Amino acid sequence: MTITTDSTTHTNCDYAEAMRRAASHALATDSRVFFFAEGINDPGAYLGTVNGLAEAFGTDRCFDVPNCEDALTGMGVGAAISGLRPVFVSLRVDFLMLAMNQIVNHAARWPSMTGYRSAVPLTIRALIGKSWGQAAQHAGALHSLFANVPGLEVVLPSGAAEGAGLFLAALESLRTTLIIEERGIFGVEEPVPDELTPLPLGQARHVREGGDITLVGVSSMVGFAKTVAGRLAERGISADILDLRTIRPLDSDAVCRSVQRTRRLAVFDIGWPCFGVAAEISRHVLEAGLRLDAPLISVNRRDEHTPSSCFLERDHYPTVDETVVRIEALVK
Amino acid sequence: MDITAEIGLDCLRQMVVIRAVEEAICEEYPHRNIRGAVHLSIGEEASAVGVLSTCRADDKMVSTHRDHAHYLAKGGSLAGMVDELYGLPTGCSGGHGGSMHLCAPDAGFMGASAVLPGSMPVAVGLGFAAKRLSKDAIAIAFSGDGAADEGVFYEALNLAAILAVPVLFVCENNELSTNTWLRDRQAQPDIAAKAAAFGVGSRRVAGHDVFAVRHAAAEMIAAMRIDRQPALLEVKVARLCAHVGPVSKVPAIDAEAMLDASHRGDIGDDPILHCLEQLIRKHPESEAACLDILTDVPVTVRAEFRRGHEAFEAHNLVHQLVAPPPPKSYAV
Ligand SMILES: Cc1ncc(C[n+]2csc(CCOP(=O)(O)OP(=O)(O)O)c2C)c(N)n1
Ligand SMILES: [Mg+2]
Repeated sequence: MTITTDSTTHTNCDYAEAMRRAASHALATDSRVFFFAEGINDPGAYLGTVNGLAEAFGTDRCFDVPNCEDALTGMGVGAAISGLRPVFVSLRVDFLMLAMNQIVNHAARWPSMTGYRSAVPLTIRALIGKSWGQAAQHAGALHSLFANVPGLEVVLPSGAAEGAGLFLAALESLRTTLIIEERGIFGVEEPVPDELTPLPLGQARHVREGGDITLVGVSSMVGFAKTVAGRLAERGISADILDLRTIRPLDSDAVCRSVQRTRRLAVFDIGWPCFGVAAEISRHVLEAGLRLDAPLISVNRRDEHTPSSCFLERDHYPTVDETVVRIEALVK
Repeated sequence: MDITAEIGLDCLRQMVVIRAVEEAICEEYPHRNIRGAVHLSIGEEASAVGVLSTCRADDKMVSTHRDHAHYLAKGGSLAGMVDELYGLPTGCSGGHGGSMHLCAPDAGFMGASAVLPGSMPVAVGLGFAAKRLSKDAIAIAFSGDGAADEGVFYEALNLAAILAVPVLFVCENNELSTNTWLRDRQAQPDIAAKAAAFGVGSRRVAGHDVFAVRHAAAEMIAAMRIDRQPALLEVKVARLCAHVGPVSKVPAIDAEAMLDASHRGDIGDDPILHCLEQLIRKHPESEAACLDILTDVPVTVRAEFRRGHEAFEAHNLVHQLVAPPPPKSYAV
């Protein structure tokens, strides 16, 4: 667990700008790094995270490719085992389903199959198009599918500064790392260090100090948890908040330490309830022999595919109001 | 084709090593110490040796489930392979890979994928890195005709062509996928023509003739070192063994009998007999050297397997695994 105590200067920016800065930094300082994606050089593509990279670093460091996710991921694997640091950006995590063969059977397994004589330092960024009528195939939160697989790292940044630091960490890692970026983290401006440094993978961030309940969040659900915690505070309930940052590796120690103090737990996932982050956290808590004073709360999108209609969509995602009510009932 | 006696003997030696290794596997398999699927290359040795005897150690390659011949022809160590087959920690893949996932990164044999045709896009990445990091190194991907049933075969060809990366795709066409004929799987079964349809230059060569394969590969590789474009070489081979399991369909190496058969021109589809016949016809003075190769190589290889067998037994003194019962059949 880390609490930021750095004395570096910061500038306010949103997620896209932070990621663009991190990408520029990586391209400028490491000649092994290159980016590729379908339509990467469209102005405004990838929600502004790659703007201007081709102009600044050339189209052999940042280039457009055909629509062939499986082959593109395989190309990333081949370049990575040759010592380069490829970054594949996918407009939606849903599109990576076409690349599962390369992600699971190749990127994750190549080190093992070669007796750990080779590493696959590939980075894949993939977006989740939450809201705005994206419907079933463009709003999936499929991180748990990847997190099940040994050999992969799964990063779920919660905001701009986190995104930039975790992206640089992914580039340094010798494993294949998926960075899954939910749209909800994009609009928010926050102070981002002017001098970017990698953040540790597998270390949760302690977001808020509290003694009554532990709220464990990922991605945009960290912000959601903060809002919930604010409302709970008005009712005299103090919440401890952890931002997991990565679900594989998962900082179970930080979770267990907090739960040991609060003896209550709510998990805020961006995905479905089944086989999700809450299930994995529960495994760690139970294996540590910890007892809760109240039932676990798992906050999720509904166990259904995302509908398009704004009316139906409202019911698909959890709301702060209902979550506050659920937690209040539990803590009283 | 003009071939010096020196090159001819070298090709012969490499093919005989591969054949002797696979015969040793067939002899050793019933002892139940080599555990796992083995896909032999008997009958297809000229493809591996023809192509790989013309490339350099810094040309990186990937292979398939049928990887023994490729590994040996690329310069992988025999001891490392034998130990890998026996599941020993001293194996080339530390015992994690087994027969289907040999590796010899130092020799440019980066690994093998047994999920069709997973190695092809990985080779695009190797080719991308070769182009970026070297002025004339290339990448090589072996596949079978069964790989061309799959969509990624075509994604990889297109991606290599559009990115202009130097990958030699070698498609070993034995007209079989397991035991299903090519004509029953592909509506248009001309594999070289398929590559051409993607703008990838292609050639077809008879796979029983190691010198013809070598000549075709050498010309294509020489061009690729300059033009940095992909190409596909379709090698028409005859699988003279079962799809999987220790079953050869040709008589074991017998120096006298093989020389005799080549003198009579009774050489069938066997690439080793074809090589012998050509060598003796063009370089009669090399007959004694041929005899030495055919006599000595199997002895050396058998000694290596005996060492492996003993190492397995010694290792098993600690682990005390019980031998599995003999199989009813080796069919898939
Ligand atoms: C994606 C996938 N589907 C099916 C298989 C099962 N399989 C293993 S080897 C094989 C035959 C492949 O034929 P080919 O590519 O021509 O290679 P060959 O065995 O003839 O050398 C099949 C179907 C597999 N390994 N991967
Ligand atoms: Mg075949």
